[in-house]
Order: sequence, then C-alpha cells, then structure tokens
Amino acid sequence: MRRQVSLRWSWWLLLPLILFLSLILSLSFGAMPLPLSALWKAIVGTSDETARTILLEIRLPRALLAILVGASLGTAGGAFQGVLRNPLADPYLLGVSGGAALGAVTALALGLPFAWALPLAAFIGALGALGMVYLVAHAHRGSTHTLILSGVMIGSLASSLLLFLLWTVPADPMRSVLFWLMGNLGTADTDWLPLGTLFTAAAFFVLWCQAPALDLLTQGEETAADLGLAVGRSRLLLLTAAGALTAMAVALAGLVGFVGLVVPHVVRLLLGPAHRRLLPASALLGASFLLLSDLVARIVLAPAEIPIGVVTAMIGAPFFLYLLRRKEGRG
Amino acid sequence: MIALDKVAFRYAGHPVFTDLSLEVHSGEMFGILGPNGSGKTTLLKLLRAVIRPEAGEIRVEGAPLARLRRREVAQKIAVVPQAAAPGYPFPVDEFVAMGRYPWKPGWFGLPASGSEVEKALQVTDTSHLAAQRVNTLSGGELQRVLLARALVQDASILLLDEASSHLDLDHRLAFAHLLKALNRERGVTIVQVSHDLDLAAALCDRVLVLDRQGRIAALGTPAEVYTEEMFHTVFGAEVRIDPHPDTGAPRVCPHFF
Repeated sequence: MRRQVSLRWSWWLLLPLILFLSLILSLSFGAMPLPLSALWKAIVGTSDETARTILLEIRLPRALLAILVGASLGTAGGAFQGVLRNPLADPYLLGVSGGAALGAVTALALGLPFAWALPLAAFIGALGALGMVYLVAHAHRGSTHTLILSGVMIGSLASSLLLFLLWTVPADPMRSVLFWLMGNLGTADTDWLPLGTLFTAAAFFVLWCQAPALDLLTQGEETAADLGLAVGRSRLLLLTAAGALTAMAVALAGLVGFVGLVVPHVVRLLLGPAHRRLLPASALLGASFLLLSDLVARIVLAPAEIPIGVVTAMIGAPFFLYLLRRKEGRG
Repeated sequence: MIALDKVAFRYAGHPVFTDLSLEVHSGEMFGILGPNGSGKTTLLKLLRAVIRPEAGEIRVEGAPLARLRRREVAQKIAVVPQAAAPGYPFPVDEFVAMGRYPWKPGWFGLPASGSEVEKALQVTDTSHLAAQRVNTLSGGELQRVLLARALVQDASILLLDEASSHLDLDHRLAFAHLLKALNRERGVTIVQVSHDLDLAAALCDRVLVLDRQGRIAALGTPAEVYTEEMFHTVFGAEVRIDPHPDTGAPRVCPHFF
C-alpha cells in the first residue's frame, strides 16, 4: 500500500512536468524553429522583433488554447464517464457534438456576419442538445441507460438536420465548416481566451467539489441514494458543468475527438478511479496531449496543417491499446 | 425504532401492500421472510426511501421518513446490498470511505474518514485488503467490504437484502457471526430479508412473515412463528419443525418426497 501511495505522489510531480515540457516543445517548433536560447530571449524581451511576435502573438495564444481545450475535454470526459457509469462514454455522447455542429452550420446558413457567431451558435447548440437529452430521458429520475440512448438518438437527429442544412448551404462556406468540425486550433479567435479560461476554471471547480458525488454515482443510482446522495439534483449539476466545459471546448476548437475518451481512461489506469485525483490529472494530461497533438498537426506536413482530430486519434488509439494490453498482461 | 403506520403501496397498478402496520424496536435483530412476490424487497425499498408509500407513514426514530433529506436518511439507515459487480476498480479503503458521504461537511469539504474506515475494516476482518481493488475480491470478501462501507455510515439501523444468501456456507456463517456481534455489542438495529429459514431462526429476535398478498401472516419470535401450519398456508410447503440440537431454535425439515 505504501508503495502505491508514493507512486501516486510522484504522478503529481510528473504530470505538471509533462505539461511544462509539452508547452516548451510546442512553443519552440514550427515554421521558424526557436531553440531554447531563442525562446528564453523572446520571453525576456532581448530577441529581435520577429521572434517575439511569433512567440507572443502566434504560438503562445495557440498553445494556451490547446491547454484550455485539452484540459476541458479531459475533465469533462472524466465526469461523463463517472455520471454515466461507462468507461466508454465521451463528452460528445449525449448529443453535444451533433448539437454543436448543428448550431455552427445554422449560424452559417443564416449568414450571421459576426466573428463570434460561429462559436456562440456552437455553444448554444451543444448545451441545447444536452438539455433536450436530459428532458427527453427524464434524467432527474430515469436510468443512465435511458440517458445514453436518448443522447445517441438526439445526436442522430441533429446530424440528419445538419446534413440537410449542409445540402442547402453553398459549397464554399461548407468546406470551412467541415474543416472546423474536424477540430482546429488555428481558426479560433484568441480574444476568447480570457473568458474561456474563467469559464473553464469555474466549471472545473464545480466538478472537482462534486468529486465525492461522482464516486458515489459510479456505484449506481440506488446505492448512491443509500449512501446519502440526492441523485437527481447531483446529476443535473454534474451534467450541466461537464456539458458546459464540452460546449466551450467545441466552440473554441471544433470537434476534437478522442481526448475526452482516452485521457480519463489512461488516468484511471495510472491513478485509480477516485475523481478527486482523476479530474485534475485528466485536465493536466488532456492539456499535454492536445499540445503535443497540435505540434504534430502543425509540423508533419508543414506548411499544411492536419486537422487535430485526426492526430489525436492516430496517436491516442495505439497508445491506448498498448496500455490496455500491458494492463491485461499484468493481470 | 422503525414504525410503519397503515402503509399502502402499488407496483405498476398491482397492490403490494394495502394496510401494513409494524414496529421494529431499537437494537432488534429483525427478519423478513415470505414466499417470492410477497413484497419483502419492496418493504425494504420503502424503508430505504427509494420508493414512497402511497398512503400511510413510515417513521424512523420518530422522524417521518418522507420529510428527511437523502443525507439525513443515510445518517440513520445504512444498506448492505447483495454483492454484485462493483464497477470502477476503487481500492478497498477508498470504496469503504464512500460510506462517510452523509457526514460530508459543507459543499466542498471532504468527510474525515481515516479512523472510521480503519475501524470498520478491522471489525469486518478486511484490513489486509485495504489496498486491493474491489473488482479483484472474492464474493465473501466483497460482502464484508460492503458491510464495512455500511458501518462507516455510522447509522443506527442496518438493512440487508439477502446479503449473504449466495455465499458459501463458511462465509455465510462468518457473516452471520459478524451481524450477531454488531447487534449485541454495538446495539445496531438490523433488519434483514432472508431466504435462509434456519439461519434467520437462529439469528433473529423476531421475524415477520409476509404472505403472497403482502399481509402480515405471522410476526413474533422464531419459536412462535415457525409452525408447520404457517409453512403450509403461507409457503404451500409441507414441513416438520424440530429444535436445533445445540441452540433449540426451530429448524425446518421439508418433506422432500
């Protein structure tokens, strides 16, 4: 037991360290490489103007966005997997992805001219779909099975509406929406960063405070109630907070898949399922994972960029399979 | 003390209880028996406040159950479920600490749980399992760990729904000893639904027998309740009752052929 505890402590040093190294890597690689010395000079302001501009106005905002989105998706994934008692749940399971996409395309089809129309519409669509799933499933009293099935159905409905809308929209803007849907950190308006950070921090705090409730919910509704949890109210609070985190991430960066599924899963293998640890560790690891994925997306086919969702799945899936096999092997 | 006053409950339009009144005393070891479909589990669900009576009232230590908040119910009543697949692989000590939830202070505090958990693990003889993950436990171990989780709830009433009925004989006996000790030494009120007639007779101060209409067919000490006639009318079974050679508790011998 003592060995396990000390191992756990080392993870709290290791995970922030991984995030820090990912950040450094992400800041130094790109069309114009900035080695460590140049990076340092740019930070303290003794370098030339170009390097400083690249660092502060291009790479740093993008890296911060990656951290924000990765942390949000990791945390939301962990929370959804707890509430739904399903390790295969991801933040998009309850119609959030379909709703967000539908919102974004609606904004485009209506020709809303504002720069913030797209993320805002995606945000509203995501939360709207989740709310509808919640109501349809009578989630205040219903079972998690009903919730998941309703989520899948509402998601399908949103997707079919989406296809219909895409069919009516002219081809050119449609391409940009498709690209956006695949997940992209490059197109986001970085003016959103401060607001997004505040919002994410608030939702994370709510979830983290509710970590013991999440632990209880993994035991099933009846047992959770026997242990003193007001299940309906707690589930509403948790789904709202996790849904808002997801909606925020989608609004900022489109549908980046896989992070919310695989990161909490990996953390559970490393640190166990208790949510007081799972949520912050998933945030840290999700942020690192998205930073590195974005780095790969930017440099592999430079100057072209691969959609980041493609990269997260390409790195995430084999890594996950490796961990799974190793775990099985040890029994 | 648990008091049911004229409780009525229907399940999918089908009456389970129409007029059930009953008292379980503090510190009592109370058994609920009856054939399948007599509403044993439904009665337990009413006591857990998972479902609400349609008429009548249930009071726990004088307080109407319907008025209590979830955590207040959990501070008074702890439930030991049947050992089933425990889901996510929590280590045993964290799993047991979940039982402290009803005592969680405020909105983001964590309930202090270390010493309570340690004590409960000792009582249930599971200290050596503290770091093991719950999904790797045997059935008997998991059942003791579930009991430990109910114990850290620090409730004065323990409800068991056939908690030990699928365990091997040795584990079932050990579990019964544990319940007996909790009841005698700590004064915990224990209400258990059981299919094991002989064990219930040896263990319980009083037993309730429900018939298929959800009515009280018999209520009293095992010696009063266990009669050949009762088993004939309620269970539709021909049995002979004789005293256990050691304890004198009634023992049920069915006519097999």
